[in-house]
Amino acid sequence: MVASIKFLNRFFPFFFALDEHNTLVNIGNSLAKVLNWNGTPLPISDVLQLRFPYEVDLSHEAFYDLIGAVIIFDIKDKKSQIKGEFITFRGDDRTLIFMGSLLLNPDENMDELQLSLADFPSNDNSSNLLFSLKAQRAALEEVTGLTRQLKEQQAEMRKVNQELMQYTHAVSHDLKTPLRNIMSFMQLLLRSLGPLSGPQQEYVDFIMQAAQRMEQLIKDLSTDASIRELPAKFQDVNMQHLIEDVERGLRSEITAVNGRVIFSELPVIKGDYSRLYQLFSNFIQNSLKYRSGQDPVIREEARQEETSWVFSVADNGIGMDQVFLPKIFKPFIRLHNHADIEGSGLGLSICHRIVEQHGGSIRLDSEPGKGTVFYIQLPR
Amino acid sequence: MYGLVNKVIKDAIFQRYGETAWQAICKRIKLEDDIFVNLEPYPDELTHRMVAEAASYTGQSIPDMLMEFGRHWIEYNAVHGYGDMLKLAGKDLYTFLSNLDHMHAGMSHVFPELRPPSFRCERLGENQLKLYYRSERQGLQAFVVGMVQGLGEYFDTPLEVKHTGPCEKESICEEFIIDIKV
Ligand code: HEM
Repeated sequence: MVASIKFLNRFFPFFFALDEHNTLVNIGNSLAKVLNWNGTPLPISDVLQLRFPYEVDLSHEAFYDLIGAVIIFDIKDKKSQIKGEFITFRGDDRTLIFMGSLLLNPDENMDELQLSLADFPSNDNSSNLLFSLKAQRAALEEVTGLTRQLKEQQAEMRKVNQELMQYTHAVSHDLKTPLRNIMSFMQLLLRSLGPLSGPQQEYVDFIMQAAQRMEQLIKDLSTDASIRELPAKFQDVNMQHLIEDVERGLRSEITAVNGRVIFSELPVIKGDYSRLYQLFSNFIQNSLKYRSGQDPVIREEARQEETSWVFSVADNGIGMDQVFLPKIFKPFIRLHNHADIEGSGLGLSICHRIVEQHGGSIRLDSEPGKGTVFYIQLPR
Repeated sequence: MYGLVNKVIKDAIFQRYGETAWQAICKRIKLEDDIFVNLEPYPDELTHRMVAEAASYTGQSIPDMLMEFGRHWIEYNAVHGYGDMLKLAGKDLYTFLSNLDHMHAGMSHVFPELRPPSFRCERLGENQLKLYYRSERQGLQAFVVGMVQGLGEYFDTPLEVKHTGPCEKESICEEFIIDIKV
């Protein structure tokens, strides 16, 4: 088969032809433009610094074997690629013709190579590809920009969060002193007043109760702030010892309501001791607070699963209705039908945060009149 | 259509009528999230509502509004990310219009849900071109007129472009005549 140069040029403007001495004897218009070729036959090694993605010696036969080749060549120190095929197209076996099209890297400027789209045949996929490369580049720029914005917003949010926590810390600290003054002067006042009438005593009780509630709220706000603000310190925590410590810390509250905490054989886990202390202390206080008519019994157990420990804290308290369950870990949620029970409304939301910081999760089962079980899953 | 279209419309309103206008339009079409991502497809209906509200806000007809957005399209893309694509498509109006299909086809590798229009350009005389526009969408002829006007400015080629009606032999095809002023 014989192909005319005109035909080759029209469909493969990046073609080149080699004779059996590996001399370039013809070359497509577009490639000629790029290489500044003046038409004199030249050894291919002088014209193109050919590079293949794999090793090839420069023999005619070796080229011939390279069907579907990608040739990387240097044009003015810019590496470009021609993708195509070596074919004997003259029927004489002495001329090899490489029919290919130029692939540009997205950051390569066609102007510099003195090419325009017209140098690519109109049916050539590479002209679509050129647009696609540009579109890809623009898309990447957009994604990079969006990622940068996101990062900036994240940093800003972190800063605002931190400021908010510092503010909470400062405010709760500043509220503590006047509150203590109110409580101690109230006590002094009571002492100097002597015996009170029935209604007077009732009012005083209200004031003291409100003050204590406020004290608890301030304490919880400050705990919440430090848990959010400060990083957790992970270490081995013996849960058996930890629950013993919690029980000791809450002994007067537990004995005041005739309660009991039952536990045995709890494992050692990785965690932040003081946060886990806070966690289990909150659960026990919660059980004592929402106790039923019976003496409160709180049972703590641990069950080993494939990748985690599941601790359960079960009580025989009043339990709660299913409708409350989804909201229970949100801050300032209190069971409205038990408004008389003291609490800041932050206890369980603090628990939730602590468990999250440990990479775990909490869920609970509860039924009115039957009690509540919290399940705390923590990684092993 | 992809977010790029809505982004250009937003930018046009912002640049030409100010932030207050944009916010009023968002309010009227109940658009809460006005950050458009180029790479994300949005319903065509949203774009149409934006155009219609912008027209009513600025007291123009919808075709005039589309024309304005078409002109802004070229202005915007020349400087925001897609400038290289415009450069690649050609150094003169005729070459550029002849390469539009390659350009949209190339984009569809990156925008897989692209449903691009198709254009064919014919020389009628030394200073006259005929542009054939095919699209599965309706009512965007004025957008094309605006874009061609924008291209005239981009190539520093004073021109006049007119939508002359549907193509003679083909359905779903519209014809435009471009007169280049010399
Ligand atoms: C850098 C330049 C350009 C880019 C990046 C671009 C990209 C796009 C994109 C993303 C769409 C949305 C299509 C979809 O989401 O399905 C679109 C639509 C469209 N483009 Fe282009 N385009 C460019 C230039 C042009 C030019 C110069 C013209 C005409 C002169 C044109 C004519 C249109 C028209 C008329 C539509 C509306 C859709 C339709 O008619 O079906 N575009 N283009």
